Amino acid sequence: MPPVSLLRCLFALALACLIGACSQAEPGPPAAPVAVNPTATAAGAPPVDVTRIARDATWAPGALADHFGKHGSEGPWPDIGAYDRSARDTIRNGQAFTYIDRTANVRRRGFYVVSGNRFTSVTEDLRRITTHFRTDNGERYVVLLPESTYRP
Amino acid sequence: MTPDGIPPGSRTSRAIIDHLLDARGMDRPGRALFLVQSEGVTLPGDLEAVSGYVLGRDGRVHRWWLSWSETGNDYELSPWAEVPDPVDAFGNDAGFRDAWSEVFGRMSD
Repeated sequence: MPPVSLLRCLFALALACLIGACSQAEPGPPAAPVAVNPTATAAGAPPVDVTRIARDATWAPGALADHFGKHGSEGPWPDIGAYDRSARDTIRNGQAFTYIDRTANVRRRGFYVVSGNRFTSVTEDLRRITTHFRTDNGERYVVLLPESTYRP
Repeated sequence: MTPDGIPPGSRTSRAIIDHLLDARGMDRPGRALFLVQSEGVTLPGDLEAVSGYVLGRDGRVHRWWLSWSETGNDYELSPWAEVPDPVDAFGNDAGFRDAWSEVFGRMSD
């Protein structure tokens, strides 16, 4: 009979394999493999799975309509759906960085696309999209955000 | 926007928001803000537009947006709208749970 310590090791190994298998078995369209955008590693911050954030992050109740109402005229967004898609596209294709929201004084994850001057922000836990807009002064806006890790 | 790109007066934005919430009868202490977001739009007086939510002592949550009223020539919270079933809507938001703790004490899981 194997010693108890060996059985414990085998059990721990099996459990680790099971956990690993579960963490990789995320639901999602099979044709769209999860790809980590290499630009999505903010300096000093862990890499983020931008495909998952763009797919799963949600607007808080009423926030999408309010934000489209306020920012909708800034971009080529004919309707609220186009605005939402632009926010998510910015997450997928923008440079990821972190910063401190100067009014809330909390850390946020930002994404910025230079070519379209598009900025999207999400909560630190990556669950909520908090805003999406085109900045008044382009890239300088995200560079100068408090504690911004954005690199031009 | 100022030449250096930083909307000035963010601390003042918070003061104006607090004043406008006071005016809506949302007493402090007894309220807490969450999901507050600077919106990159400069309002008259060099204040930055801000959006967010507020939890009141009655357990109700309203969403708000610090704006400028052209007709009233003053700052306002617009839109201002109640969010139904806030615990269902925000129960998984860390910010809401912090706000709840601030107003009512620790939220049960």
